[in-house]
Formats: sequence, C-alpha cells, structure tokens
Amino acid sequence: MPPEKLHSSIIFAPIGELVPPALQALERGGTLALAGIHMSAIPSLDYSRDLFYERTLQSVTANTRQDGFDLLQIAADIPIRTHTQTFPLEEANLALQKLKEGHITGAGVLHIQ
Amino acid sequence: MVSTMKAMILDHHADVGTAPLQLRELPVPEPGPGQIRVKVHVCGICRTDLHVVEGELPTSTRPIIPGHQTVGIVDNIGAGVTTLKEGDRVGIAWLQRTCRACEFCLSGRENLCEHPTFSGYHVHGGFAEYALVSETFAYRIPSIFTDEEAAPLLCAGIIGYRALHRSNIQPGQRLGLYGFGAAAHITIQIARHWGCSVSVVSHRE
Repeated sequence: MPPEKLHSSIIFAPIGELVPPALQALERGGTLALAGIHMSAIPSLDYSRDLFYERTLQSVTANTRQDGFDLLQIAADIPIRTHTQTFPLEEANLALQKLKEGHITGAGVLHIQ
Repeated sequence: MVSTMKAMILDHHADVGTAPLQLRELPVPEPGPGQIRVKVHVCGICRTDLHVVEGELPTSTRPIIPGHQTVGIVDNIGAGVTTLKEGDRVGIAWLQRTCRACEFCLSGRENLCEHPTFSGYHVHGGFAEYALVSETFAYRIPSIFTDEEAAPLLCAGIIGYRALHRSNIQPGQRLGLYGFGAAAHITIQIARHWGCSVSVVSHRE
C-alpha cells in the first residue's frame, strides 16, 4: 500500500478486492474512483474503517464527447507520450491474450494497413 | 474501390485463449446519412475488448467486430456530412451514438445515456480495414501524434482523464493508481503535469 494517505485514487484493475484497502489508504475526505467497465465482486465494506470521514466511492461510466475533445487537447499540449506494443490485425487474439496475462507494456495496438 | 475487407469478428463468447476472433472477408460498409467511413490504419486494444470477447458484459450484438480506439483516414462520406471530408485523419472511440433525448443527454451527461451505442459492442468497431461513425462522434487527431501513438488516447486516455476528474484530485495533491496498464500510463503523465505526486500499486509477477 502507498506510504502516505492519498487525497484521491483510481482503480484501473478489474479487481474488486482492491476497493477496501484503497479506501483505507485515502485521506479524510478523499475519493476513490473505479475506472473500469467491469469489476469482480467487491468485498463487504466496514463503515468506520472504509468510508467514515467522508471518503467517497465513485464509479466512472464511459465519457462525454467533451471529455474526448479535452483529453486530445491536453495530450497534445503536455505532450503525452504513449508507449505501444504492436501486432498485425490477424493476431488480435494473441494481443488480447497478452493483455489478459499482463504481458503488454503500455498499450497494445493492432496495425491494420 | 475494393468491395470486401478483412476483419476480426466474434461469433460466440469464449476464453480468448481459444482464439474466438476469426479473420473473415466482409463487405466494405457504406456510410449512411451523417456518417463517415474510415479507412482504418490502427486500432488499440483494451480490457473492454477482452470483456466483450469473453462475455463479461451484458449481452450485445453478435457477430461483432470489436475495437473502439480506431485511427484512420476518412475515405467516404454519407449524405449531409459537412464537418469532415475525405482525407481527414480521425479517431473513433467507445461512444458511437447517444439518443439525445433522455434526461442525461439533455443535461450534458451523455455518458449516462439510457440508449447509447458503443463501438465494437453494439455496432462494428475497428478490428477491420474499414469502420463507420457519425461525423459528430469522430475526433480529429492532433498532428503531433502518429496513428499508433494516438490510438490509446481514444479509450485509455479519455477514461483516465475522466477518472482523474471524478476522483476530484487537485493540483499538487497525492494520487494513487491501482493497476498500471494503458490507461494508467497515460493518466500518470497528466497527474504529474498537474504537479501531483503519484503512488502506483501494481501486481508482482
């Protein structure tokens, strides 16, 4: 777990078991955002241990187009550097298998033409 | 103009280790009114694609071509398209269409639309040589990025950016990230740009 209490956290991994310890690692008033579209079962929460002191549990659902426009603008301004691992289209199954196994560094991308 | 295209298509949900995506020749789709056709250069892969393939999301359209981080060039436009033209470089993301009528669409929260259409889930996505999208849901890709660099921004980047806002993180604060895949590797760059200190928790091999 992180060495200091955190003001905010985001869970990207689809693992519900992470929710209680991630809440416990928050500062008072902190927010935990769950960024995935799917997550395994979340264990039961203990009110005083996991939520009291106004900690917030927040899901994230898709995006608005404005989110997309804003992200592309800020990505160009920073600029963000994405690290990719490429596969031919025909190897889409292999690419997804590597993603599932955690064997892709950065982001996987299929080359089509 | 070619009449068929290669695509990786899903007929039935299955463990991805059994190679459920099949390479197939399919008709090149024709853009309808308000739509553009994109000649696909690259398409990012995402954990959502994995959930779609393995059937971990509520049942959707099948057979389906997955893929919702599509980058390519507009090669044909449908009737009434005014904002894009052939040759423009664009991206197609997860949100393909919204109803524009529900209370969420009408209050600026189209991400919560009651009748949304998602790329590679309800309609065919970018694991193919051509893909369609409404002109109003296409993104122009900044010239600073190559196709390959841009693709992960279209889901991993956008959802990470939205998650940052929903986490209520403020500049200079301490942020935690659990899991370090495509989305986190983009999100951490934005958070650092905002002066945040970032702790990452990831699994150990």
